[in-house]
Amino acid sequence: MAAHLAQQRLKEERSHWKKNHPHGFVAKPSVRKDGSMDLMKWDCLIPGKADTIWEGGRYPVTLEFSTNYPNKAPVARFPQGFFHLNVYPDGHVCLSILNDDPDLAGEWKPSISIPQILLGIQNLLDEENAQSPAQARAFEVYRTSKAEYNRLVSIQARKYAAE
Amino acid sequence: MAATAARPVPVVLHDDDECAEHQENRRQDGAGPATETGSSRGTSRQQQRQEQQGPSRKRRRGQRENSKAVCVDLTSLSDSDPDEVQCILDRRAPPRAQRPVLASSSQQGCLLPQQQVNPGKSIAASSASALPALPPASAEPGIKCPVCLDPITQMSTTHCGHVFCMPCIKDCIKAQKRCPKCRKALTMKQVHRVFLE
Repeated sequence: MAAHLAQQRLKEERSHWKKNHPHGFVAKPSVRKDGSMDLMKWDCLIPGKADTIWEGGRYPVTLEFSTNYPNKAPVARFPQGFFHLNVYPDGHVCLSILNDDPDLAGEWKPSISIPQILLGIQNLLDEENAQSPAQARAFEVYRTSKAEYNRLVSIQARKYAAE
Repeated sequence: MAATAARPVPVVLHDDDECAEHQENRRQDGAGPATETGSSRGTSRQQQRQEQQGPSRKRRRGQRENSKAVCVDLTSLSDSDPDEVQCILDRRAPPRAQRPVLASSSQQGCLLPQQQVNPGKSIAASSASALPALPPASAEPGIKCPVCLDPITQMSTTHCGHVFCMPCIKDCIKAQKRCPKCRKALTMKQVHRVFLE
């Protein structure tokens, strides 16, 4: 039942996305090796916001949905080693709206749609939360020198702009 | 435009009023002790009224001829003897079966000129009344459940007022014990079905 609901919801998300989605964003179900579509894992691209140090980059994110979706939040991942204060070393995004554990101030709710998730991640890029750092490397740089942090972000933006 | 269109209505209503007056006259006459004096008084009054209302009567006659052949016969009688017309009008009024027919024909008579004079307006009015009626009819099945994003099946609502499919809200409460829309704490006791029809 739950798995069926997840599939059904993701089909609807896909048709909604095709009809209308935020400009510059990409989101599509991943393709398995045999060429079939995997609705439970989506490949997305998030553009850096204009007038920020993230501008110009298009950052790849995968959304992994469990069979309990939409009751369970999907997991959003940047590529391993992505430089951001609130991204774990394995690329896992630490974001309140993607956390469904109420004890950890989770704010996930089943009515949050895929465009809302991606827009939330785009906001997080420039509005990092220093209260909950997720990777030691970015946190060390951030704590010692904000300018150095920004410089590394700009380098990363150029890297993902080229791809 | 409005004057010509409105004209038929007061005339037809006037008929009915007149009939009512005549009925009153009759009752007053009947109340009198002597029938002969009463009837003579009645005829003299009726004749006076006849003279006063001459022009309006002619107008009515013209309409009758236009609308119904039966009416033409009645008015032609009035030409020969005015007193008889009074009696005929009195008899015409009471039968309830005829009245609606008369009223509807008179309404059509006054509505048709309006439509002819200003067809654009009437079309606009009818289309304006038809257009707003359409969206609610089509929008109602368009309500989507925020959990499955499909049109709602077994519509249900919560304590906090949000609307979902019953299976969806059941699953959500089992998993999170919260409203999928506003995250307010919820139990199944705070969920109930909604029936739109």
